[in-house]
Amino acid sequence: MGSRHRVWLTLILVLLGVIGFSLYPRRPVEYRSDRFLMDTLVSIKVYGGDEEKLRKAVAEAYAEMQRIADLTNRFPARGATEHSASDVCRINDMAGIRPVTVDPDVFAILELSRTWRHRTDGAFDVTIGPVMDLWGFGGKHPHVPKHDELAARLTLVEGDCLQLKREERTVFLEKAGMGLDLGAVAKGYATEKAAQVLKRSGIEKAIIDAGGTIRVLGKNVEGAPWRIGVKNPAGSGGIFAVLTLQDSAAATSAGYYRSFDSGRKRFHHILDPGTGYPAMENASVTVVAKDAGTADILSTALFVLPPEKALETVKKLDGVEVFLVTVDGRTLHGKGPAGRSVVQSEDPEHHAQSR
Amino acid sequence: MRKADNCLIVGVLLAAALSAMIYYRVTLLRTATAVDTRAVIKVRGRIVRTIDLLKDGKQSVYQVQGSIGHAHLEVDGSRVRMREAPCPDRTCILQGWIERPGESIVCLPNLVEIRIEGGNGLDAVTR
Repeated sequence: MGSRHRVWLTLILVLLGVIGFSLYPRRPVEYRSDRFLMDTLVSIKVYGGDEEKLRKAVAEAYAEMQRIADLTNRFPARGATEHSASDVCRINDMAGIRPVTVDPDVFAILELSRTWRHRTDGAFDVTIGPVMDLWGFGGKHPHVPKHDELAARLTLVEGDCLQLKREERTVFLEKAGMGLDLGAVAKGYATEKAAQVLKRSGIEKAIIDAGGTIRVLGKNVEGAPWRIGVKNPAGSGGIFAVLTLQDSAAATSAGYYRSFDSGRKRFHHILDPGTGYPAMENASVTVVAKDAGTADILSTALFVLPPEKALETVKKLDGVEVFLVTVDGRTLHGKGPAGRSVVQSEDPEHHAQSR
Repeated sequence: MRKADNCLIVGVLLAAALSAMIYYRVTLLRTATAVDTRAVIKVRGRIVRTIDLLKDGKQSVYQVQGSIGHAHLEVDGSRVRMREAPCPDRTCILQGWIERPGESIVCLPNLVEIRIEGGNGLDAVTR
């Protein structure tokens, strides 16, 4: 072989190498962004081919969450522009006076809430507003209310007095003094809406973490199901189980947030609509469901129910799974007909009792 | 074809091979140390400090300026906690230690966030 041939051969080999290397499949682009929204930190992480497209989709997802937040916010002062922009404020203002026409999403949230109120025997009720206010949750100085005051307010917590008219899309609280609080559903619903926005933009891989309410699309960047830790409610902290999720959502309700001490007792903000007092049997309830709205509602509803009743309820719910830690330290696991077993126990001392 | 041309080609090839080796070496090294984790501290969503966490690291306290005051976070080996914070509810302190990738502590009043990143751990934590 002449030296000229050798040179050509070398050049061709190098060229082939360069072409081969550039064709080698690259990892998708990751785009991540954080924002303070709905009283929590929301972080969205998405994967795809084009960063500009990802950035745009995430901005739209945040805008959608912000829109739901504004519609469901019940705390702005009367007279403020935020007050008139909030459907929940308008409904509460008109309690006992007249029905209010609302945004389709607010109507959908209320229908979803009513469905779950029935399916959980009243453990979940969005008319809890007046009792939440009496405890002062959401304000600076929460306190234990007097028993007779609480009993009086409790008569205003009555899901049956929430009228929803689908044709006119109107909402009416029948008694004056009633009030909606969507704190246990708005964040989950907004998270689900954000996930749908991402999906419509063609994104197949994404994770939304709205202060611990998680929604995932597809699988993670390694091509495996997303790994979601469950926070240990005990004082030592850390993680005590790992959920593996794909195209589904997880939400947790726990007594360790928004709580205060009075006397020698600790009170948290998850109130039992039946008694008006914080539900005290569970330390933490994590629910896995197809959508984030359902997961959020059910984590609160099942937290309020006694543990055994919560497990009974889940058995009838398609595609739902619950992971529950009682105040006395038992960890219980239950699932509905199509629920996959997604739980891996992390801590050898904390094996989930499957049932 | 002159000798100089041959030298040039060999030189280019050698350089290419060397840079390929360095490239793979770097990525390989990176995966080899990926078990290590770091704490990323953000204030108002912007990273203000990144602390590499090591299993046998020393105990130390870091101070960051949040939205309403100084936050003191404590690093003990591979775990981190909020030790002192100016917020009224002290939720961040009550959260205790975090250690696993994906875990985070958020102090909303002070707009300070601590998140554990790296390793082959979790994508997020439900809480």
